[in-house]
Amino acid sequence: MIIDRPAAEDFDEFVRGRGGALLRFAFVLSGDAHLAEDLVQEVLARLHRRWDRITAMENAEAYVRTSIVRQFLSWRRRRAYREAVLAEVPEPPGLADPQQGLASRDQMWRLLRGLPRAQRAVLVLRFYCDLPDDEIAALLGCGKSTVRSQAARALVRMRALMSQTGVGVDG
Amino acid sequence: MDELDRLLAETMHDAAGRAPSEAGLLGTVHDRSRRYHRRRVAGIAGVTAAALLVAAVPLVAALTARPHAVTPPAAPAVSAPASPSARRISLTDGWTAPAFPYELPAVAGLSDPIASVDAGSVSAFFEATELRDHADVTVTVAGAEPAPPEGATAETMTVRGHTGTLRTVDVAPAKQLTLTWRESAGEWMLLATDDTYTPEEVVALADSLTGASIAVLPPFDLEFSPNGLITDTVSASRMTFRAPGTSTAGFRTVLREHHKINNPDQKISGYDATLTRTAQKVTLEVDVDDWDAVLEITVDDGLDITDGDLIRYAAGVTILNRSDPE
Repeated sequence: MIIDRPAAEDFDEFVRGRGGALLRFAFVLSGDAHLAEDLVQEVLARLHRRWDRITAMENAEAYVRTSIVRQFLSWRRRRAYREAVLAEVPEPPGLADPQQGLASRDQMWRLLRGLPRAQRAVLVLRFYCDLPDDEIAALLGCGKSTVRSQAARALVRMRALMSQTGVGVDG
Repeated sequence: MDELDRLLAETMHDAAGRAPSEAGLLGTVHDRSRRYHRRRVAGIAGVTAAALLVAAVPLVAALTARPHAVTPPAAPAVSAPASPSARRISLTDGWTAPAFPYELPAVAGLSDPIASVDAGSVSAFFEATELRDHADVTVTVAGAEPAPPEGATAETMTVRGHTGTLRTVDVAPAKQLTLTWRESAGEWMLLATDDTYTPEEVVALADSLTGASIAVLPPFDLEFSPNGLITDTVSASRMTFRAPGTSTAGFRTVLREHHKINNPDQKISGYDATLTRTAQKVTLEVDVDDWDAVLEITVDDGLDITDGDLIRYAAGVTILNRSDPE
């Protein structure tokens, strides 16, 4: 295989420069370190040979992130990600615990594992990537109404799980 | 943003700090890319260019450490009578490789063709070795009109003096182009590439095809093959055969990734093997552990083969370096 030298250099530069951000995104998306590495490696390896085409796009990194999300959603065979067993939800922290904020985030992180993949992906794109619903819809290849309904269902479920486990929020 | 939204955003950004390190990522991606490339070429065409060289040198033999050491069944296999209408299969010496009957003119930027067979259709894969002006090209000869890809737009073109259809599927990063035409009675052609080439260049590629005979290179060397059956599929992991007039490959030899075989009851060239007969099929699994693979030979109930012939067939299979288990 021969890859155009400039494209190959561009690819290496992209991975060196943005690989860490992609891994963080994949980790937040999947909730699993090994799966995150696998997702990022898989997507980059598959795009490697066509990197000249990717860089010709308006936003190469957005395309890579889209590929990671779609890979995550379609990767049903991977064992590493499974929706959490709700019977294993964590114990609530003590009310007087000074570390309650941190504990809440830890518990929230674990509760996110209880969401179906598509709902989790919508929340990650909305709250981690700060994308508006129309961009999330374009990225997922669905309508804005689907994004809104997935997000609404995810938030209802999160509130229910938090109520069940005693993680308090006002909203 | 309400409290839950805020907590979710904080949680995700907090968790991002615990993501795996990017150290070593680039090297791993390059390794994986190279592996996919090898598999892609092997998967599409059965062999890699390197394997063409390998074929000329002594091959690593797996099952045929000649002279054959075939041990008859130690105990009767689970037995089921063959269907009364089953076609009796005997073995014939060797195997004749199908050939792809065309070639593109040699040009810088496209590799020599590598031929394969999939469900009876013979294809040649011309890999792009220069990606600025060239793209991978696959040309397929089929007995029936190929099904159009989903979501394609179509336009009519004249190809090699025939009416053809150029279909475009608009996908990123490159639009996929397929050109189909009927070359002669019972011979449909399909040329698949991407929009590295213009529609006119795609037609020009088709127009430049000339007669040739490019043999399919198999993943296994067969000392025996099923007599009277047609080669249906040859890929990096499988060789399958079907009876004339049928569309199902009822005789399959597949190299699979290694797994434990149940209750070995045979020894074939020193390898543990399990022969299982049911009403639907007979299966012989050979644990070729030094290849980290299992060779699986299956004969469906529409075909009838004796245990002795099945074992003789298995013992005559040599796994070649170009193979890649599935």
